[in-house]
Amino acid sequence: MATSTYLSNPSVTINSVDLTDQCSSATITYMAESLESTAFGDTSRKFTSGLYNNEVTVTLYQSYAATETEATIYALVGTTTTLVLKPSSSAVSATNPSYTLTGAYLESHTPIAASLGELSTVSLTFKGGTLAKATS
Amino acid sequence: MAFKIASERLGVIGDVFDAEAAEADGVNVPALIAGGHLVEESKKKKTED
Repeated sequence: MATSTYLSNPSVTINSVDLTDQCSSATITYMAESLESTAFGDTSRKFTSGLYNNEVTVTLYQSYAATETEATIYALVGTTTTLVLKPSSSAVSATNPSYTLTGAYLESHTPIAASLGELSTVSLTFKGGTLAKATS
Repeated sequence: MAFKIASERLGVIGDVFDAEAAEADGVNVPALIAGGHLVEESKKKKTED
């Protein structure tokens, strides 16, 4: 039976700081780079796993208030940190796994990205690092 | 150096923050300090008369 998941209350923690209520989208890309290993005699291409190249992208509402988005993110540019994301804010379980990206590098941040009549948002991409999935 | 939590987004305000354990987990402690989430725990003076 087909199922769909509607994530209305996921949990997003960046550098141990809970920014769930400032977050409107989050994507984890768990990727193992493909290395071609096709050789003479093969009739179709073959690939083997190379380096893992994980990535987390999040969209946060901008806030310049104390300990909010800007204060949390600004000092992370050019450094590595840890992110923890869960489908739901409830306890970690087999049906609510926790994904932890450790050693993720933040290359850039847009402290001001504003348009007239719209809430200001920040789009961040954390690159690299090791992804671990926990179910308990 | 000991730190206390100064932001509800990080934890319970006033609780001691284990910076060494956090750094071992990949947390960027200097960024937490810069963001106002942590404050250095004030050293208590011993007064013995």
